[in-house]
Amino acid sequence: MKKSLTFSDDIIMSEEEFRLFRELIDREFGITIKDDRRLTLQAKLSHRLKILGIPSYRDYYNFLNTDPSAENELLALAGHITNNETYFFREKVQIDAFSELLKDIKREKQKRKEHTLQILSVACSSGEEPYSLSITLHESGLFLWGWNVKITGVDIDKHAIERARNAIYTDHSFRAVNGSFDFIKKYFVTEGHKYRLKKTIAESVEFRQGNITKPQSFTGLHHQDVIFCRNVLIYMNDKAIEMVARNLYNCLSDSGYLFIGSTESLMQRTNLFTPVHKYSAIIYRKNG
Amino acid sequence: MEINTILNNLSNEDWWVRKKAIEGLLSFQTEEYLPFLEEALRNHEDALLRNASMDAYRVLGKRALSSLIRLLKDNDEEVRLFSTNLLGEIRDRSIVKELIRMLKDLDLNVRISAVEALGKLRYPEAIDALTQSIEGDSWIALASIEALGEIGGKEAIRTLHHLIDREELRMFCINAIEKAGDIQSINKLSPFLSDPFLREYSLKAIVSIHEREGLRPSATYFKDMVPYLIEMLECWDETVKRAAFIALSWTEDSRAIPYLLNAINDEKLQDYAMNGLIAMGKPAVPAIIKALKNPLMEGRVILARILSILKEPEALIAFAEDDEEEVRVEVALSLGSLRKKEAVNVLSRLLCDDSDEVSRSALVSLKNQSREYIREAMKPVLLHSDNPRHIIYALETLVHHGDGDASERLIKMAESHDTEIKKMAIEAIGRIKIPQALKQLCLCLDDKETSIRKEALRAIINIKNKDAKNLAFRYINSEEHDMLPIALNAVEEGDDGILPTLYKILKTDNKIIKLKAIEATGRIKNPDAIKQLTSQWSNDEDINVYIIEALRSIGEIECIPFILRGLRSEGWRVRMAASKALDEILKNVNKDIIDMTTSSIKEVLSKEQDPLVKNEIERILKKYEKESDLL
Repeated sequence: MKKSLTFSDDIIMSEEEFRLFRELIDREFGITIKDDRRLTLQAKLSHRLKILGIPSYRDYYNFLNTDPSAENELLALAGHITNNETYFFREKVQIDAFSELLKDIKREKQKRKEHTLQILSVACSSGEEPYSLSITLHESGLFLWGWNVKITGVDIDKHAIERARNAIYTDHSFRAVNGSFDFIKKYFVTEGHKYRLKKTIAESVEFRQGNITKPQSFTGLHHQDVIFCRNVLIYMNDKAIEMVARNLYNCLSDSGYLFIGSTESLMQRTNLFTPVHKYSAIIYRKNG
Repeated sequence: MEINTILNNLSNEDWWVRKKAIEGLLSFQTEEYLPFLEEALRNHEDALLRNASMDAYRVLGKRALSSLIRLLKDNDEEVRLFSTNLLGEIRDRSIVKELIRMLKDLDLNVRISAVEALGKLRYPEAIDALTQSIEGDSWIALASIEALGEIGGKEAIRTLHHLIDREELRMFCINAIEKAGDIQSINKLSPFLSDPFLREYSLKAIVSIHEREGLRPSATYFKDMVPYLIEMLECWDETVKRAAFIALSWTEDSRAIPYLLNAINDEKLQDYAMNGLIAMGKPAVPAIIKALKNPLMEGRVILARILSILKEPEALIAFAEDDEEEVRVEVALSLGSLRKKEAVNVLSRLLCDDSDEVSRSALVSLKNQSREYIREAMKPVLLHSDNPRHIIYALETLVHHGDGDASERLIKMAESHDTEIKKMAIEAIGRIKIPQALKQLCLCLDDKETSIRKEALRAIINIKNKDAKNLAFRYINSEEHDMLPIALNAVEEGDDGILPTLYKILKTDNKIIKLKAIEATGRIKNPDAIKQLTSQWSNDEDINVYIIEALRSIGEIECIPFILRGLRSEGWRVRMAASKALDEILKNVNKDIIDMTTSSIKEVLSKEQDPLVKNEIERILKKYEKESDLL
């Protein structure tokens, strides 16, 4: 019978250190790390120790907790521990539903004589989602002339935001496109084996860094017509979900639409939203 | 809201209204609504109201105990059933005897419910009664076995080990042992791995027990079962699939490789997949490399990490230009151990990566390389790069390897008018500790940018000579808030002269400064500081942890009483720190002190609930009881 594996020459995260990080991550980001994820967390953090020249995870924890220069490191930590893999047109059913909704939104706004459209992509990672929305919007042709369209992407990871702003992607980001590359030719410029998003789309999205459990991350983002907040709530504890739900509620216009991940649910977590089934997708509207 | 309105709302169709109504009940005396709830439980017509009543009982918990116990005697068997169920959700020892009484209820469903409730409560007093129940009705027998599994403990496990020999009860015993079993149960379960009907149940139980105990079987334990385990990966039952996967990951068998690779990005199985591939070692490497070459493969970063752990830097070189930044980081870090010209050349390219994380990783590794190839490799960077960050890292590498000219050039860059360049140069100087840079760094202390001043002070302190310390102490004495957290890092053992100032700083409301001051005070190791440190004890767990660690650093016997107080603290981190502090201090004391302290530790141990802290305290107790015997 052996004790669980350890690996020599690699800095090992003890049970106590694992617990310290779990609590820190839970406290700062509302993200729950499960019991059986110690090795994964160790693997994700070990390179930070080497780069910063910190000898142990305990010292790294103390650094994050007490060093005044550690604020950025803490935000980068969130990016490292979540699975921020994303790609263009992920969960296409929802993107298609969004495309259909645009007609309804336009109709409603024209009745109210409004000409702005605001879309928010929360936990946008390296930008594939907000850019997918922008492309969808462009393809619809509904908001081209005389409309003030603003799409914003928010993510906690500074590096992800940088990548989003650079808007350069590889094949990896197109794995949901099913081999049809017409839209790649239309919206991207090929640079070797990479693809740079054309300016018209790249400049249509603004990005900002922010922790979505904190209301200040949403300053200036009220009256959003559509919010996408997908595949991030699954990592969060109940209290964090309530905080995020409250922040999204405050951002969404009264007639707005909220998309969350198709495997996620807000039912019995908050009474701020009601789910409706529309265009083959579950979409949330503000309650009351 | 009035009580009548609340009671009416209990049968509202809206779940949120019912939830608020139940919460509203808590503000009233139980006599005002318990009769209503009892009647609601008897109401066969209105299921919504009856369910709401049950929800209300759940929320009320112990407040409703007497009502529920009263209902156990109701003529209506459904009411007795509901109240039995509900009692199983209230953790109170007094309920056990009531539920044991219900094991003799006339209604079978009530008896089953009583068994289940006893299982949920987990009090070992119920074990005898449950064991007797096994000889009765078969439904009761099975429910009792399950309840024994819920209760656990040595007595329950012993009973289950005994019952597993009975064929008609075997499967249920295995399921119960999955929950309650210990390492001794493995021998009881192993024979059933060869039984096609019981294989899946025993596998799950064996895997669960190993996980719970933090152990793994040897690689040969499941070796013969590999084909069955692979088959079980297709099972409809997710729990069987999971157990099969975990067992497969333990086999170190190459047939497992494709399945481990498939699971590398599965959040639920990732740790096992990683462990499995790493344990397998070299035989897994070709498959990992092949998977890594697939740009569409999910979890490539983890695969790169595994290759790094397996010390395959040569294999990683091929991915030095990978599209994924984190893969390049792994390549850069792993090349530190490959001391070859090729590695240095690759690292010099990675040093000039667009990503700072990749550059910094390359920098770390270049410092580990031998001097032989460094100068040659850094030349092109210095000559051709127009990126100041890359130039600074190249200079830093050269200085680390003893190049004096490079130090001068780096110090010059710290004079730059560009804030970013200046800051990067100062950070580099701080990392490699160039004493000749002290003059320039002192000039930077007057820079208008706060970030420059802070980095300059940090670099000065890293240099660690007398002048550097005097400068840092100037900031401590002036109590300049911005610079204090950095300046305090300069305090070392023997700096007793700064103590009076530290005592003043300890009283600050600024938490970060306070923590740094506590740390600094501890480093001085002067026992006179004990009183000042302990006077800062508060409700803040972080502060208390730091105080304990400072006392540990001081290491005097006089610290022990306070550390023992820490051992009784609410926060688990404080208790953990206190355990470790005691471990440190007791190394150097006499037998009498050890005996007195271990006796206090025993008392604390008896009340400790946290398993992590408990393990640590037990370890220390065992160590020093043995030590005391030797003395």
